[in-house]
Amino acid sequence: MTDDPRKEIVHHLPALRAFAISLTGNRSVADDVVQDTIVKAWTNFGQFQPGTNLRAWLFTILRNTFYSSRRKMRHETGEDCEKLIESFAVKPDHDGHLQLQEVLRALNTLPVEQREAIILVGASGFSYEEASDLCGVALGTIKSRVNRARARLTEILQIEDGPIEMTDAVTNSIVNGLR
Amino acid sequence: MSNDQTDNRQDRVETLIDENIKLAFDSLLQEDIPERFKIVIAMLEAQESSDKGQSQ
Repeated sequence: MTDDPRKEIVHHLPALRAFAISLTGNRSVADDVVQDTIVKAWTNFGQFQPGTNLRAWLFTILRNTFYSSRRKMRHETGEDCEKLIESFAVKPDHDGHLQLQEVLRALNTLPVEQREAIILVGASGFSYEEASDLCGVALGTIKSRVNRARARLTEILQIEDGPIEMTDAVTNSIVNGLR
Repeated sequence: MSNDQTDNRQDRVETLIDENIKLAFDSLLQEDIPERFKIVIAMLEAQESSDKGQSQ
């Protein structure tokens, strides 16, 4: 007897959770979204086409789950989780250094559409084409969202003017490699 | 500043943004997965076994 292919879902949980935290800006809410995603993926696994990208399929379910819960929250409480997210946003220090926490905070100030676009393309390893399929929008729309996200982050993280300094060793090596 | 210099600067800033987002995302990837996720999967499996048992 072969292993249940649904067990593969477990391998994608760290990435699903990271994506959910990026979308919601809140670990507790993110974990609820991931849990709902697991249940939906498990019970609807028959709809997954073997040989296609399981990770993309799971990310799509998670994304749909997030937007459904967001709409529900707005409808039931009149609250927008974007406001919740914004309350966590803090301007980075003016020392020109980028810290991971600052990057996460800056990310959370972006409109969710831009945030998901840059996370999918810039961090999760999806191509522009895959991200546009995943989000159900045109390729040009994804490219535009990523560009706007980069521009906004550049502004928030204040790296447009002056020397770019990084405190992170890995980032330093990247920057030095570019010089 | 020439157009080339501006383009280089822009490319460098974009690379920095992407690399930092990747680092931030990777830091989230390193976090422990909550036990509740494994419990949910175990419950789904148990539920299925129970459903199969009843239908036989």
